[in-house]
Amino acid sequence: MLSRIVLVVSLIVVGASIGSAQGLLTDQKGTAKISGQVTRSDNGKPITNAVAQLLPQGISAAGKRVKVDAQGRFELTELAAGSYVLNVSAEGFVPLDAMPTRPNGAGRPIKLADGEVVSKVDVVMTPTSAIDGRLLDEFGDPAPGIWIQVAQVMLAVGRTRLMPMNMFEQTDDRGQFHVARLPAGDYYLLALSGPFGPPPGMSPLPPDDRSGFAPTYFPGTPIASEAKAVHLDVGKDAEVAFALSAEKLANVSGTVVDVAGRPVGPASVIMFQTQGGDVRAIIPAMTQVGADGSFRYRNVPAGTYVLQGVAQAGFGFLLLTVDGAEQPDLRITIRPPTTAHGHISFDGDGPPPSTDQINVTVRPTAFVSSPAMRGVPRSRMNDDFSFDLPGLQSVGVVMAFVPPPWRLKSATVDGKDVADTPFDFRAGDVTGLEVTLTSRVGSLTGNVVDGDAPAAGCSVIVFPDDKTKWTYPARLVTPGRSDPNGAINVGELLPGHYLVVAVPLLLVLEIDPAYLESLRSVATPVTIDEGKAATVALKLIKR
Amino acid sequence: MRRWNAVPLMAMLAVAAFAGSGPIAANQSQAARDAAPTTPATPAPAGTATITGRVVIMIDRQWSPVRRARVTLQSDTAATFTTDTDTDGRYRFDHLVAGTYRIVVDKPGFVPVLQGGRRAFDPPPPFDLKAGQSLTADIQMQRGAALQGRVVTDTGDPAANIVVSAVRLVYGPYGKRPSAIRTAVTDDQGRFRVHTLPAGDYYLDAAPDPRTLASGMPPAGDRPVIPARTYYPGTPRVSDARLVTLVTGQDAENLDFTVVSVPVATVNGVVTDSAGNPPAQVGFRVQGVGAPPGQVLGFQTQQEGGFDFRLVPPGDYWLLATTVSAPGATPEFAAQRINVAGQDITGLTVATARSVVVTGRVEVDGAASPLPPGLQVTAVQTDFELPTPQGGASPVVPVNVGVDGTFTLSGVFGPRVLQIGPLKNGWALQGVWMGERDVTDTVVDFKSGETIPPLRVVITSKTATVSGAVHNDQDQPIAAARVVIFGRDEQKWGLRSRAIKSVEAAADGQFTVDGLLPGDYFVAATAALEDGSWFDPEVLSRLKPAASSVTVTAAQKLTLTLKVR
Repeated sequence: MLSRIVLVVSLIVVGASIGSAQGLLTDQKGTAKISGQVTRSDNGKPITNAVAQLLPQGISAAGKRVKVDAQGRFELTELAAGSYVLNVSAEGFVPLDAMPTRPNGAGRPIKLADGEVVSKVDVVMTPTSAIDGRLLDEFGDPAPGIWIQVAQVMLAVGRTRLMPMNMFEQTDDRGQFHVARLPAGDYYLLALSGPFGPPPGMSPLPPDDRSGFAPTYFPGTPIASEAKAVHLDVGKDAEVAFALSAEKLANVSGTVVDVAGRPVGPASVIMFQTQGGDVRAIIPAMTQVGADGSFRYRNVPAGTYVLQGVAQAGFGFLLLTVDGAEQPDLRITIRPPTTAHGHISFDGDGPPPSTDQINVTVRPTAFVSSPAMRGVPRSRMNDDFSFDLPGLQSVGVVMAFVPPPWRLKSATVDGKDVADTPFDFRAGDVTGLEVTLTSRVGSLTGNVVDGDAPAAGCSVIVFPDDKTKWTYPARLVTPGRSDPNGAINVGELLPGHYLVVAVPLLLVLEIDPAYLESLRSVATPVTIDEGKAATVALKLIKR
Repeated sequence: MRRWNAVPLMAMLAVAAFAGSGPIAANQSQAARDAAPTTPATPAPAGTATITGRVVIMIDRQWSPVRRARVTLQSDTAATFTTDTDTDGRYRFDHLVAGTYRIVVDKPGFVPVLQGGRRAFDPPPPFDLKAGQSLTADIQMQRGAALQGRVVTDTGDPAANIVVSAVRLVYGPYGKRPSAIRTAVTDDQGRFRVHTLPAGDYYLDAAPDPRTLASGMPPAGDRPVIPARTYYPGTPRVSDARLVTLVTGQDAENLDFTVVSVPVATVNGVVTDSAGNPPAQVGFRVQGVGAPPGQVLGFQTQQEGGFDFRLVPPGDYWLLATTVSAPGATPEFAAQRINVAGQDITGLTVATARSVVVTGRVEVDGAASPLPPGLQVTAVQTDFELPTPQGGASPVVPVNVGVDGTFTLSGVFGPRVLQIGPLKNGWALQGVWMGERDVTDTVVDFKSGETIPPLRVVITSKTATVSGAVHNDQDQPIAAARVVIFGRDEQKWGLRSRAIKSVEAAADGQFTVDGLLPGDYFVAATAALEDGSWFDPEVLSRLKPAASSVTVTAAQKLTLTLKVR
């Protein structure tokens, strides 16, 4: 019997959603009951504006939603038997369902039998924080009407990049802005204008590409890698002020064309700033292209860019340096997607997966040369395990999605590795993509302790001893996670020599050779043999 | 939730004063263009005229540049162009064709200095540009005023994500109604700042985002409440709202108020067509009784034959439905009055009814002269707006009048007024008859199953024209004055009245009003008049004492010189 669940909420990303409406309509009354109290993490006082919501999991029972009382208490009654997940939200607090970590069992299903009474479901919520800021122009005057976003560091295509994570706020007539509802953490601030503001249609304002400024990062730099984070403590607001970086502007226009030079439309063009040939902050400037293939960006600040063109007919990109001079005749050449034809071999015992359980695809390894807003290509598998993989338009490595115990062992084109070594699939159709799946895999089990206590919900990284396998996409680097008892179980590891380390929970596993190198000295060596489970006892490494 | 601060609802609202114009030597303003080059939004036209100038603001008795302001050049005849001022406040438009133009300047925090008797919400004055002319036009701005405060709910919690609007009573097609001038959205603490306001009197209102109302979930609780539209200092009635008077650049702070909470109810049900079948396409709308068409509480199209409005505050509503039995079929309609008082209204069954077909003929009064080309007839909705189903056609479309004058309006349902247009070049509507009944400018409620006698629409070109010039006290022509011609019979004053016509005099003071039916009129000129206000009997009564009295007969051409004092 479940009698007491303590949910501690400490948190990372925002994005609460009020649950599905559907469950609230069909009102099947049951006899089970859940009650509890919602309190603040900082002072233990009750939260009086919270809403507790119980979402049924895989059963057709009705969900329930109640507001807490003046003591923060809630009671959800007349529940049908089944499995539920509790969500709690309150203005000013990090909502429960925004927690990817769900430490200590939060977010785990609560199972209810008929007539069961679960009481003292105590929910501890963490206050959010806010950033109050003031934005100035290069003369020190207030900069009104500039869009503000906060960004966090995210891993995307092999490197950490700044990824905007909230909706746009706009500076007021005094250049002031207020970004609220942020969980404690480190945030980068972006001041955006001109083509980098919200895309048309997202904003009720007329498209406003007025700008004299580069996208500017706190504390006042146009260079993404020089951005500094604003640190927010739990429930504490931060105040910042910074100045926009003025730049020369130029209009950038041209045509999306096919390889024969004919205009291609309709299409989309997405422009990103680049630094050192790569996109460091994912701030898109999007524009739609009509049937004549022509595109135009007004007031583009000086800098280096990649312009990506996406059309039904394919994908193309153009690297561009803007220095204040008009660039009126650009051409983005769309190349048709290519197809790889190949075959799957099986290395191992046991029945192979059925053809519909296998998807072979190509994962891009370069941001600039891959369509930023396109789905992953899917293979079409034949009964003899030959396959076609259409829709390829990037440089990348071959991946295979297969059910356990199978795992990609190797992929080659003309005898050359394409599983770990990026291959330019844009050059033309490929025949003879040989993919080998293996079931000759081992696993790793064990447990993690933090001092004397089991370390629940921490991250485990299993990575090859051979550092040449650490470069992106480093498919042998395998993340895992400890369960509430500190136990770990990482399956489908290719045989070989590995290092394993347990660290506090990582939201994203950065596949960064320097990071892995820094872990080498504290990692535990382990050898994985085919068909066997290696066992490790790990200590949580905190730093 | 996405936040959009200070959304200007009316794009044309940041109205600039046009500060003097006259020919100057070309190309005076080449300086300081590097930092923000002028970048026309559309390809350059083929003309030869140029407009240059600076946008400036007086700070410490000196004119300082207003940098990166958006300058929009509007034309009644040519395309619209947009540019931004540079870091010296300069702007420039090249390659312009000759014509009449207006300049609008927009930058958050700045409003135009008003000159020449114009008021904050008048359109900017027009000016003429000749071929090859180089015009200089400096534009003076001043600080906008702001309304700032905090909104809380009646439990004392911050009212977050509430749209707070600075409101004026504005003339529109449905008379004088509250209209948001600028808005802001409250932050997580309920705080708002509505800025870039011209000096003037404003009401302040707070209301939930209409998008939330249409599709949002009711709050938790047995008797869910949501904030209702509340006027400062805390009343649901605009008649009890307090006017906040702002002087130029004033920051009115601490405008804190509590939003009224109302219980919300769910209104749901299903719809069938007149044969009792589930329709192929549906559209639903909930609209307050008395609210003008277009102002709806909620709109749904993809509810699989049912509707489900969950955030309906207490009030009298039209529940409106459009159904189409099969793609391409004539739509059917329902308009049902419901009263909501905090209690859910669930399981309603609404049956749509067939619409009626109205035929008619357009005739020319007297002589058998041919009809003017391109005439269209529309049965305009007056009380509510029937919904357009997903993938279906709008329930109200203008129909073309045939060469023999006949027309057929199908799908007519509910209260309508018959309108005909375009009537230009001296044509006017004489009257509309439904059988023997005069329904000119009259609302007719078209009910399902009725047989409608043929309509007779009579137009005439036997109309008078009044033209002339508007002068000031010194007998000089003045630009852009407002001329109003209105019937002497006060019974005919009112919205959409054919006895009231108004034009803006041109840059040289000239004006022409045609299409006047024979009769007795007043003619008045005034420096400026709020758009649409000339239909307001109060405004006409104010104009009357200084107006000239004229009587016009058919085909008469009258020339007048009007004085503005």
